[in-house]
Amino acid sequence: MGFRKNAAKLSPTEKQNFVNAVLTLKKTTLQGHKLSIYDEFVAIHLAVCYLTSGPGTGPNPPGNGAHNGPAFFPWHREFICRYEQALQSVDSSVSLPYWDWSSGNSSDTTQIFTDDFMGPPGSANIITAANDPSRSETGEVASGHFTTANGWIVNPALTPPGYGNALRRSTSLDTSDATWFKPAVAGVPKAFNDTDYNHFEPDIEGVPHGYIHLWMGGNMYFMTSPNDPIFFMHHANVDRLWAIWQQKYPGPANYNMPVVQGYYGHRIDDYMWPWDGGQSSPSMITDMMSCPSEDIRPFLPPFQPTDIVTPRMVLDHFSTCGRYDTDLIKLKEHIKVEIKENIKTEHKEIKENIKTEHKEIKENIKTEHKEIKEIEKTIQQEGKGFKEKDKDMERGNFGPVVDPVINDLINRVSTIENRLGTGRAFIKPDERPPVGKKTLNKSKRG
Amino acid sequence: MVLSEEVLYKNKKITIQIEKNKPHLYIDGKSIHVSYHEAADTYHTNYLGYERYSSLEELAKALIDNGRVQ
Repeated sequence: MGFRKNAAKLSPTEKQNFVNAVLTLKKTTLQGHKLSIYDEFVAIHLAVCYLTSGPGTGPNPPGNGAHNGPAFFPWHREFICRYEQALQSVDSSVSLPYWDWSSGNSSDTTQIFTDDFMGPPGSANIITAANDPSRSETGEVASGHFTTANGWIVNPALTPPGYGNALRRSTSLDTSDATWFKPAVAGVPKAFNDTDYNHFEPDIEGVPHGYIHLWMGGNMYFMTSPNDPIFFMHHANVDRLWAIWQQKYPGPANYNMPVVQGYYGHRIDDYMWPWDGGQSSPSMITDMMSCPSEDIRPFLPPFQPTDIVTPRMVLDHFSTCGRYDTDLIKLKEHIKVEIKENIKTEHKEIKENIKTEHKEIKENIKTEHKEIKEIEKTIQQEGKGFKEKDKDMERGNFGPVVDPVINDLINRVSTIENRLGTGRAFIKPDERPPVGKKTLNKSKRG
Repeated sequence: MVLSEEVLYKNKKITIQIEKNKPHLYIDGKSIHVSYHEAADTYHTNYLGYERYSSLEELAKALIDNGRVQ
């Protein structure tokens, strides 16, 4: 899981990779879907404002599932997490950067709205504040990556009637603006004085968060505000502010308290639409200012019935989705825990390996010992054999001779020796050379 | 119990009803989608984006002033 960084501090490569991933989502429509992957996020954000049916088991029936209530933070946390995952399906190196409008440094804002990154303020086809439904003087974004020429088309089904298909923003994104921008920045430290969630949440949602939408004007003004890709970086910063507050006030005990409030979907274990298994559903859009189409439902992607998210499930952003480079305290703790776990795991593995090797060595020793004993036995037996042979050699018994000729000679010699010993003629009668009778008689008269 | 109030503003009839903490707003009989942020004690309408109002009457007047309701 990568870290979300300050958008103004990204390298040129990081900016390019991020923009490329965003543009890819805008240009990609999945089979069977009516909108591009990007525009489906816009449709979901609009539809969640108009929930009508559902279990209604809370103190109020379903209404706005993501705004004006405790679920503002968890819903948007999950929403931008899904967006980041979609970006990472295009390029796994990308993390969603945050737009740190809350820092008080104008460069954290001015360095983002450039041609090579998120594009400039509006400048073409200007509509005056009196005539613009966003109540600001706006223009079309005419240069950079998010122009109609570059394929950034605002879907007409997801924009106020007559607002056109180009991305529109205020003509002046001035960080010294005293109506919206400066109060937004000032509202943050005030909110951080809040010690309970049900004050902190509206104190961020209302003035800081809401005023940035109003300052941007144009598409960011409406409930179809994700039409402007700056939406996600804005909400990454809003989420980061909540994450920082959570460092001091963590966990379920610090959500929707001290008194549980809100429509269904806002309490800690309520299912949040659209990740609610179909419990709630959006109604027809009746205000026509957010969307010309009265029924947003045909534009929505299919949702899995088992895809369930509750506020409780996203409280710990560090473990689930979206780590910020400002999560220092958590980061240190997390690294400590990770190192400890790694050591534990490696220690266990080493122990197991030693055990296995020890067992193998024992087995080998046993086997070799056995073999040695066999060899010793063989040596002993051969030694015995040699001793017997020695005795035989002393007796003159050389034992069986392999060579048959030599063997025959030895047998003949033995025979001769035997006959010599008995005094008998050693030449057999039938082996004697023939001798005449006269010779024998002369011997007798002699 | 339903709390009801009617106000005339710029030739438009504003009808406000509060029932069990749930607000209802009508302008010349047309129902306007509104919501109430309990913790902030503010009212909101999707017609006016991210703006907040401390009362339904103020919200209704803003809608009329900005031509959101014909």
